[in-house]
Amino acid sequence: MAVRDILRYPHPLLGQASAAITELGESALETLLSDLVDTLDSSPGVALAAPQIGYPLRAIIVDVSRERWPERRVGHGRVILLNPRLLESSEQQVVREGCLSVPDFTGDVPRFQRVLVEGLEPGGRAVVLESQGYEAIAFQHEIDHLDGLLFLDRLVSRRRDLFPRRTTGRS
Amino acid sequence: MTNSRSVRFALSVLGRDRPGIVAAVSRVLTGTGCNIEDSSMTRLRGAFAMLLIIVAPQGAEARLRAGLAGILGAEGLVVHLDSYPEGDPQVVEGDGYFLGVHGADHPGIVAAVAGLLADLGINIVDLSTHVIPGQVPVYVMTLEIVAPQHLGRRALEARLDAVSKEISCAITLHPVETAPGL
Repeated sequence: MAVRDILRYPHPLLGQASAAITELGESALETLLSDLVDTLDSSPGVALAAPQIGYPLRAIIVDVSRERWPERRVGHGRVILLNPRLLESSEQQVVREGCLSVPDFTGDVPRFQRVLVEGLEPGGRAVVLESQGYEAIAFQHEIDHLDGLLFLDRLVSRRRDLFPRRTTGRS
Repeated sequence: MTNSRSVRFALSVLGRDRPGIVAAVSRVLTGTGCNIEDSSMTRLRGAFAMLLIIVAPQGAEARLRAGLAGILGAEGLVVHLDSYPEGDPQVVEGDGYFLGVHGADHPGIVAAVAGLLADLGINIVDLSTHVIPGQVPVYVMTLEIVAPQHLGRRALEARLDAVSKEISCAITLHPVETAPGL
């Protein structure tokens, strides 16, 4: 149980594909997942992928209920998934994203508005989640981390200035 | 960040476009130890237009000016180098929107829209305008704006609607979709 440092770009681990979780021992898995939870809870974010805290393994946590804007909290609450993947997706929209591993920068990337995500719960049960809006974007962003992709790899345009400006978007 | 051994400049380069201008400019900057902090380049009416904020080592200004004049002056480009005010970057907070304006071209479109935005305390953070030639030339303007949160989308739409009628242009407003906490 520990709050880990969130790796920052250009840390090499953020550019590598992570390994599927197959035969991880119970205690190693427990450590990984509790580190993900503890680190997310001590961060300003709503989602994290294991490689962001130094584990090159396919595990993510998404929890849009942490979001400060109520309209973005819609979803499945706290979700931890092992070996997640997108099954189905809808049309794309351009979204201005940020990333805990690339602080002080936001950029415009295309994302699916609605996704089906398949994965394993920590107990090993297979689940399929339908997700839309902010949560769907979070799933896509975190699964990208597992493939060694950052939103920087998907930029279609960039804010004209590099300095953080907290625009809230949707009203 | 500048320190006692460096100084910040605004550099603009304008002129006839051709491949290699960015390469030529950046070669001069690298050669004089300058760092590009922020930049934007586009083509305006087919011409090359670039603005850069650069940080130069103290005492490098003369070499920088000579380098820019030597390479760029010869190409018929207009180059301006001005000192740039120190201080932290300004942060703009509020609701982000994309604004689109289009209609038959006539004088006053930009002034009417920008005037309303100024009255409402709205900051324009990105702007571009184009004229589509034709029998009736069409004016197209796209903006990214940041509105004070208390204003609200409905109130903004109502005010834009009034301006839209006044200038006979269509005006569209789309919130910037953001996902900051990932």
